[in-house]
Parts: sequence; C-alpha cells; structure tokens
Amino acid sequence: MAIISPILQDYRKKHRIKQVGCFDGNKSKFISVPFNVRTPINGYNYYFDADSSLDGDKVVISEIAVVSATAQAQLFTSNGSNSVDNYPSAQLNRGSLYICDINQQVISVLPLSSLCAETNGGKPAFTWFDTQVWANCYILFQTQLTPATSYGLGFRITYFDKYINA
Amino acid sequence: MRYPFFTIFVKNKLKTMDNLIIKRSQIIEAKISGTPAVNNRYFFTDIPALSRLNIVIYGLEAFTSAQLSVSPQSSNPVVSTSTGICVTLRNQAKVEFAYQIPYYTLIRSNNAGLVVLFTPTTINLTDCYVQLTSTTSINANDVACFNLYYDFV
Repeated sequence: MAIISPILQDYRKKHRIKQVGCFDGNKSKFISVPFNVRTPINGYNYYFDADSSLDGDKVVISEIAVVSATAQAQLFTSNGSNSVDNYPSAQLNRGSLYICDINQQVISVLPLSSLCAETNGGKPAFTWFDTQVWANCYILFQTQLTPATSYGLGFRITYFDKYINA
Repeated sequence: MRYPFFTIFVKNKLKTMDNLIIKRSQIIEAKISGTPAVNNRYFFTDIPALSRLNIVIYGLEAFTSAQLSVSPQSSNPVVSTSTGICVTLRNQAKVEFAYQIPYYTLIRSNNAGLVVLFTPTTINLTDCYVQLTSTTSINANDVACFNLYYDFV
C-alpha cells in the first residue's frame, strides 16, 4: 500500500503527473524530419508529414523524445532510401516543437532541448495530447543552424490507442 | 494491464518520483528592460490566452540560453551563468503564492529532469514578476523565459 498526498492522487487521476522510470504507451514510432537536404532556416515552420495514426481522434501521445545525434547518428529520409545526419545535440536550443489542433491552435510549445532525455537526467518528457492533428504540428527554429549542411531531426513518439484506454 | 508493451514497472524495487505530464503549455517571458538593476520588478508580458478564468497552472519550467537560444518573441534568454534571478507568482487575488523562487531551481536539467509542480491555481500573469539579486551576466533586454504548464478546469 502506498500513502500519497491527496494532491498527487488528484494529479494522477487528471493525467497531470505520473511516475518516472517508465516509457508507457502501447505503440511507439520513430519520426524523422529531413530538412529537404539543406540547413534549416530560422523563422520557417517545418510541418510534419500527415500521419493519421498520430492524430488525436485516434490516439493519445504519452511521450515525445528528441533522439539526439549521440543516440542515433543517421536518420532515414522520408522515402526511406537515403540517410541524413541527425541534428547536432549542442544546437537543440535553437528550435521548438509546436503541437497544434485541428484549428491550428497551438496546444503546446516545447523547446527541443527539454524533450531530450539525455540532457534532462534521463527523464522523458511525458505528455497527454489528445486533440492534436499531426500534420498541423511543426518545428520552428529561432536562430540559424550552423554549420550549413543537411540535417534531419528524429523524434520517438510513444502513444496509445484511445479505445484501449477509454 | 493498461500498457502491455512498454511499461516497465519499477514498483517495489525503486523509490520513484512523479514527473509532470504536459497537457498544455505556453512560453512566457519577463523582459529585463533597460539597464539591469537589483530589486527592480520586471513583469511578465501579457499572454491573452492565459487570461481565461478556466485555466489552472500546475507546473513551471525555466530556460536559459542553454535550453532556448532565442525566445518565441525573438528576445535573448538569460545565460546559464546568471544565477541572480528570482520569480514571484501572484494569483487573481494578488496573493504572492510563490514568492521569490530562485530561477535556477526551476530549470529541469538542474533537477534531474523533474519539473516543479504547483497546486492547481489561477494566476494573474501581468502581476507576476522577476527580480534580480545580482546583475552578473545579465544584459539589458534579456528575458527570463519559462514554460507554463496549464490545464482547463
């Protein structure tokens, strides 16, 4: 039996906190975002390819992790035939991930550095996104990436089907 | 079992802690306008979307330039060596429910990846402010930058 405070109990019930030490969800997907074989431009929205399996009408995204170049040096391009260098970890502070709903209203703005577990004590970033439209989500860089070369950015998305956990 | 494939249960083996789940978030900024001065109050820029009364905040995370090189409003966050900042949050009744929290203690990477949690409360963002206890490494027009985690009620 665990004794926890009423506020923690309430937060767990409302999906505001959960215990660290686990990756949970019943599916996981690795998403790579190649920047069209060129350096990402600051101030430009890099939208994700549409993926209905990650839309909020079907699934809840329970964790988003940026996979650093230390963990995965090369990424697939969208057609899967080539690979590009993963984004340098030291420059993750230059961009943010924007999660948006069907009306393109921003649900959450997440700096890329806070999504990288390696630089945050190994703790993944837990989420509870259930209204997002993946094709409306995007990455925005606030400062130019250096050096100028082709890069991609890799995310591990953990999610579960709504109908399983309803 | 709710999550059959990826859940690694550590109960009864390790003492675990809870960490915040991001439901909705908004980056907020307090600009240090003009020459930085000790004790001055630098108030947060208004975010109209946070003025709704059906919003409660439950977590706060601070960023330095090591986490975010440029803020969404194109300002420069304070650098990681600027350790002389405190933040105060006020609610709708202007009660300073979180008074002078040291900025560094709100940075996730300094807390083993844990985000600071609050009891659910409404805030009056434009009444919230940061103060400086030292101006070392802080330049004019730098911003104290935070991610505010909130939920609808």
